[in-house]
Amino acid sequence: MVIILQDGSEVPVFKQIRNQIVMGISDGRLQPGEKLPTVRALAEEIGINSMTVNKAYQLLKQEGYIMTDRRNGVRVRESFRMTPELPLESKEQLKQLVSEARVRGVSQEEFMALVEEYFSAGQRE
Amino acid sequence: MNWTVMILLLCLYPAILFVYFFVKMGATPKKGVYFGVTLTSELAKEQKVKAVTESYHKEMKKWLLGILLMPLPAMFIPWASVWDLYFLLWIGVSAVAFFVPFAVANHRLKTWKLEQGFVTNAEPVIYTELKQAGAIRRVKWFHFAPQAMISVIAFVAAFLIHKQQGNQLLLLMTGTFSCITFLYWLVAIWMDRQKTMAVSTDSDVNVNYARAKKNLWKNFWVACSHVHMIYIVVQGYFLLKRSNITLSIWVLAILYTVAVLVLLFWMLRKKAGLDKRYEDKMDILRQDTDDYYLWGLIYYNPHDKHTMVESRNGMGTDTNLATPVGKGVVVLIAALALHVLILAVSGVVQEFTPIHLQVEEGYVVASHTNEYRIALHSIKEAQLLTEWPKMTRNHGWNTDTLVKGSFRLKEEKKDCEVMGYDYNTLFLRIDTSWGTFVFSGVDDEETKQVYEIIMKE
Repeated sequence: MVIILQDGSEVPVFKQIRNQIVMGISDGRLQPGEKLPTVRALAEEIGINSMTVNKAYQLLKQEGYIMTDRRNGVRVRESFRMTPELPLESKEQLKQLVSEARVRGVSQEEFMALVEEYFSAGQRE
Repeated sequence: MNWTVMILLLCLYPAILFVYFFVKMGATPKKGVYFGVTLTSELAKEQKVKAVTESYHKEMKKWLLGILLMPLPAMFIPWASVWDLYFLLWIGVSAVAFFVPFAVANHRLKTWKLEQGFVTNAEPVIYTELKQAGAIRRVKWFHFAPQAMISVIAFVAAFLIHKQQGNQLLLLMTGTFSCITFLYWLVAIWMDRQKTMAVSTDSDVNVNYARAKKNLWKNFWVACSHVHMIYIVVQGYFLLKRSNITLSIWVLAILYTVAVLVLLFWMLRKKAGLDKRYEDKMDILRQDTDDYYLWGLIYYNPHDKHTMVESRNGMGTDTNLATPVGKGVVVLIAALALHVLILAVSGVVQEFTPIHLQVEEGYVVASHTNEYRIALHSIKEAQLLTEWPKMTRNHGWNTDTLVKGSFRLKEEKKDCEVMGYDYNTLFLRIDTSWGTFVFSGVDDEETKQVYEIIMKE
């Protein structure tokens, strides 16, 4: 799975890493139980401070996407026991997106079609 | 013109042609990059690009002709040190000159691109393959262990021989080159740990490509270390035998350079083949990072923390000079160049400083850029020689004119200090309880006078 990070983005790097991994889990590019690189290896590969990667991993662990143990390192969780509800922050982001689409003149049908496409893309994988 | 000059030219002319074709190959458009400028496929079809390319090829031919002719006036220089300095400047000019037409073409295309309303730099995007982060390592300890072991054995042997027989050159050269074996190992490990670019959205493609590329580099460094090991052993043999030392150093240095160049060429050809095989699978396009390439050649990107990155022009890799290691490389190269230049200039100073041999206040004084003072009463024996004794250099100068430094007398197997002109026909040998000296004055007359004074005293 390829992580794409925007150097000039307003979104902090740790958040970008977290978002990319969540997307990877969602669309199946990262399989349940798949091993992720260590904090140091990923930091070296991207060329950033290992604290940044550590922060991203901590967040993912807190949210229940990954698990860490000393023997197996970092892995994607086998099963996700999460409430089937988006967190407040994500809801806010969605609200922003809908607003932006409305302002740009994207119709509700077009927007929903896009959502459906992204949603089903993950399920197909 | 002596044989060293011939060997030098024989070695340097092919090297210059190699650099010429290598630089020209680097100017071949690669993934939409023309002379270090990223162009869209529409822009690349424009007449301007064709005109810049044609002008580049013409300029390259002119520079090649100039560089090939440059050493010819040096044939008429009678002074060895000036000749060395001139040749050093020639090598320096040759190393830079072929990149001038590239830089000019880069500037013309970049200016034109801006005039067309394009920017020359986009926000940098970092692509990272999660599966290959820290996972692809091709260099293992056993790839270099035998070479390292042989180097250590050679060094220990040289040390013991030096202790027994006093062979300083053998110890110095074997020691230095043994260290270089470990340097090969370190560079191989360092390159193996460099980030590999994600070239595709398909993870398998990224992993296989990275693995194949790292394998190529590993094979290159291992092969180089084998060549190096052979060099240490063969050079050690000649230094041990103390026969044809200068000739063997030259010939082996040339063979070594040629072997490494051949290996480099072989590796780059393989790399080009690998890129070609993966060309269709590479769906991540290169970013427009024109401004991070000074003159289209030197990569300086403070946003990129990686030192080695995929080469933008031609084959191989580029070094990011904005990283601490990159800066270190610049300092090292500058220091090496400066060191060689200082050596060459000091050679001129040595050659043009006259030697004086005289007796003053009870001392034989041989002066040049340094001075020897030998008390007359400490002289055990003085001889006037009509030719240089048979000797090999430990360290110092041994040019067509000046012979100076520490040498080893072949027949007597002992060291002596030497200061004289090679073209003289009379030489003064002085033996004391604390050492042996061979001098000549500025001319034979001066040498003879000093000898006579010593004999009188």
